[in-house]
Amino acid sequence: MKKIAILSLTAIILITCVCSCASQKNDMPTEVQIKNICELASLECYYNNVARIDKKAEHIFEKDRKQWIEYEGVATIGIDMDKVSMTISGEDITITMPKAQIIRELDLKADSMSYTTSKDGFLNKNKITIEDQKDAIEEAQEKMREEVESNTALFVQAEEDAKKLIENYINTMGEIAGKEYNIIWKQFPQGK
Amino acid sequence: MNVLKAFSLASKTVKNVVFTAIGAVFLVVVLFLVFNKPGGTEITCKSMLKSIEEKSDMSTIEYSYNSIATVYDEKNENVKYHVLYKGTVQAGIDFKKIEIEKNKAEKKIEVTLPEIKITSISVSKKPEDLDYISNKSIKTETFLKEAYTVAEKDLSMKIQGNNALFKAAEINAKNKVEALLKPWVDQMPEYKLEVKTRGDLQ
Repeated sequence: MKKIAILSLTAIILITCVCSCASQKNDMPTEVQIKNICELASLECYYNNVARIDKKAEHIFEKDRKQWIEYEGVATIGIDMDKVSMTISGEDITITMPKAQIIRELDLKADSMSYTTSKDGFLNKNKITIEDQKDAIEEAQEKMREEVESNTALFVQAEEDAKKLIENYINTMGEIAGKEYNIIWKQFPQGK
Repeated sequence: MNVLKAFSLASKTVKNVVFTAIGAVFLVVVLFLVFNKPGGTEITCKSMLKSIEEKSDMSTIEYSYNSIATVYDEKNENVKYHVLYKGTVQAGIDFKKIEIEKNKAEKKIEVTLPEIKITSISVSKKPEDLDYISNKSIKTETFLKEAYTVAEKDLSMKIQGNNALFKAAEINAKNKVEALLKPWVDQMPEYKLEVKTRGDLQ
């Protein structure tokens, strides 16, 4: 009887240790999860844009022409998760994070294009070529990129959202584990 | 002799009872320690909702919307001119209208997001941000007066049926909610998180 009791108790203690260790794994914030959160915090930036062709007449037998090409696209702004790192020292958690950037280039949806064109002349024709359209779209995409890049509010939002989501993650993990973590933010050195 | 036998039997029974009782108490203590660690939080839909509501400032995003509107003559028959404008749209969800359910049978945390709402629309008033295409010459003053109003109406009409913008806003909302609920769901490894929109349910 004694032997059975001792064996049972030993088994219970072992199971307890294994369970505790397994459950403790979920209580600690991990770098992998922080990186996952950074990816989820990225902003899918839809945009509608217009490429413009202003084709001036080169001689009197040509007419000034205009064509606008309207199209949709998407760019993604966020944190490069490969540059995110985390270290834990007691209750202090240091997170190193770079600034937000365009992480997926502006992707134009070819099937969304529509054209608005001024009338051509009867005798003084000035044809708008495929080359003109290609150049105009390239220029419009470049301008849109500049516009996105100059929209600092968008980049600040992407960064702030990532920080808030990471803070939420760490604080909630702390709450669950009965700990109060102290988060220290460090900027990933630029140019690296 | 019988008395001795009975005494020995009773003593064994008492021993068994004591051992069983100690074992049971130990088991209860162990289970209590495993499942009710100090500082532990009971994971409820309410606590998850609270964590989302506290971050409601992340609910909307601004999108760039440059487009073309068409202006017709007074009889609404012929095109007067096309106007090019620069617009911005703010869209997102109301975090307070998110619903969370714990589906114990299917081991799922089911999150239903409300519909995407357009929270603001604006068209640039700067003359350099407005342009036109017309087959007849039009006065710049007349154009500028009319174009802004036309552009604003056009933008609010266009975005209502713009699936791509709503899709992007939906992805952003889904990702944010998933990130906010991650720490909670990580505590329930047997559960899966499923974030749906009202559109998915229809």
